[in-house]
Amino acid sequence: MNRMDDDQLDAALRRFLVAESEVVASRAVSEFEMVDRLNVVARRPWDRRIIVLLAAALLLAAAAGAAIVGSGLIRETPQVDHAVPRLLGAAICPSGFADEVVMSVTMGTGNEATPYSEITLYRDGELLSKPATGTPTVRWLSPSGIERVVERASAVQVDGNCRSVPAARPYGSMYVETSDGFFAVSWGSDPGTQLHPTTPSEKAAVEELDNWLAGLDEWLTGSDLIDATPDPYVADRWSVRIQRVCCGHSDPAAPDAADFTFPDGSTLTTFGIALPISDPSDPSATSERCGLVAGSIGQEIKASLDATGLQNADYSGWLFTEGGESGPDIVVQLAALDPHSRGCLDVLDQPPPVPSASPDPLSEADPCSILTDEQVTDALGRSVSGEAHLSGLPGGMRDCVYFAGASNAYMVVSIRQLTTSVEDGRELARELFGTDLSETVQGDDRVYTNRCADAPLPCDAAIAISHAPYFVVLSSAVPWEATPDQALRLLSPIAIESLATP
Amino acid sequence: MNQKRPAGQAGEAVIDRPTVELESFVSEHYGRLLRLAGLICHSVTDAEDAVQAGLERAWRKRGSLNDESRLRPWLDRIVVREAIRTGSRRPDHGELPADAVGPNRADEWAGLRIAFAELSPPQRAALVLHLYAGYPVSTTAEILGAPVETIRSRLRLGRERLRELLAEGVDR
Repeated sequence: MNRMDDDQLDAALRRFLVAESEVVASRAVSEFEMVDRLNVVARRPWDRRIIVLLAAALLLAAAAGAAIVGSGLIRETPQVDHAVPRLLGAAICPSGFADEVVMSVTMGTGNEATPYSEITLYRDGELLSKPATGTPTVRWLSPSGIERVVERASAVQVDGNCRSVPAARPYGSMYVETSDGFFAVSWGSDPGTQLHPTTPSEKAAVEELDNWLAGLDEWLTGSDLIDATPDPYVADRWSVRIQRVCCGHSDPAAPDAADFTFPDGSTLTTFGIALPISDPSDPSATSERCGLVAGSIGQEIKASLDATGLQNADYSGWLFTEGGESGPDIVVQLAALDPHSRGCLDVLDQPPPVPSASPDPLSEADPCSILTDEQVTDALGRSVSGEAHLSGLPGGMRDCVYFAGASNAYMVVSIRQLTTSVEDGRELARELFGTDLSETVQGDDRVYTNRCADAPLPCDAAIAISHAPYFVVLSSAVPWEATPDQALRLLSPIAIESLATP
Repeated sequence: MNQKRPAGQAGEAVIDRPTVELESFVSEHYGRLLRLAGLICHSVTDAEDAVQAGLERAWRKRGSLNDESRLRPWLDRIVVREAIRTGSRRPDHGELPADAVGPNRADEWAGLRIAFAELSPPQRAALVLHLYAGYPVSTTAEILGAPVETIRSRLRLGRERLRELLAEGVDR
């Protein structure tokens, strides 16, 4: 081979590396194994040809408010073999707001192209605006201003509460307190699978809402504001969070945690209070310490951490090591708190887990026992195999996901929750499919189908059977022939009955 | 809209935001990470071990990653460093040439494959991240935890070494 210049060599290397990477991929036959101590899915076979997957449940406790499962934030050009179905885009009602919050809005997906911006309105009229870039500001609304904002925000004409609605903007979500409870809606260009049909007027309504929120400053009038001049927001309290993450250093060159002390003389192992550990018997469990400090002290801590030059962008904090090579990472994170927020101390408000006196009979039910692979293969016209997963459906127990890789066809059988009455089942169906659904009686069961066949916006065919004690939902990105009939044959009460035996 | 205000629960997202769970996490990144690690380790088996160890570590530490837009370089960093460690422990040149490819591809890339295997794992990692993964030199340096000048040096020395090996006729 003749001697090549850098460009020629780089070009050859690129082609070679691409070819070699395919060799690697074609020869890999491993299983991905997640050890039990992580308290997550214990083991799953890895099929390289079809990366079947199935977003379903949420990141343990951290994301109880997720509305769009498996979409958005981290899908940076996923290099999977096939597109992955994002299941069950029905929204989950948000929670976790301080009692003083009247309205909370988040817009943007959080990536570089569309960073987050936030608006929070408090009961006392404080309006905190955090733009995607620039300094957070505060203004104060008059009582009539609060009323006008809440009235406009809650006037969005969307059927049902906590909906996730397709829209042109990347992502937005809003929670607003109303006289009879609250109204929440999220919207975005990637809202996940839709079982609840969306009408064009609903799409238009959330896009108007998005525009209104983006122009809120201009919309407010003089009488809405006590002080029209926005002030820079200066947090009067900071949260200091210290995580001890087992084991093995992300960056062995990071400094030893013992070398850092806080202004009060405490160290990374003594500062603040220790937060409860999810599993005290697990030596690999992440432990945390937390403390709140005055704004001036927070600034001082930040300055001393900055002075170490250790800031680690990956962790949005400062990274230290502890112990030898296999010791834990110590991550320090500082956050200027919003008004009324308790920051990392919020975890202390969590109620202790209540042990269940008797195991839920549904917890052991296997949704993959309802339909065989052959039945779903026949229905979809594509070869599939089912895998059980935690449910992505709000309130769901477990899903069986049948995914036909290349064609992006999927079918999900989801066991929802215990139903004890016709009304319970109807309410669940309305929550999932909207009020415009079809209800038929099949023996002792009620069968509900959504109206996706005629929906002008993306919507997946879905059918639910309320068959006490089960409420089973079948959905598919690909319409099956004679939708209700074939689905009913598939999801026959006889098949469901087989689940009910304890 | 007759629901009561949701009870405040600590530790939950303030508002609903997209997120993922383990299997999505694995499925989105496993294939890419395996390719990266395989090119650096020069061994599929070692690459699988490196990705397994790296993903386990990343999953345990995911709560520390506040800026999810940085997930990809963060994962790459963890797995690539694991792959370098694994590759450095292996005295031979790995297994890829043995029965990896059919005769046509073997003929096409045999020389470069042998030469590439002669590079040190850090040199391979720099070339793989820069030329295959497409990271700029600065990001490559960040992922490998080395100064930019060190990465430039590894790229330059890696290219020089490849030229030498190819000129010596390893591409027979």
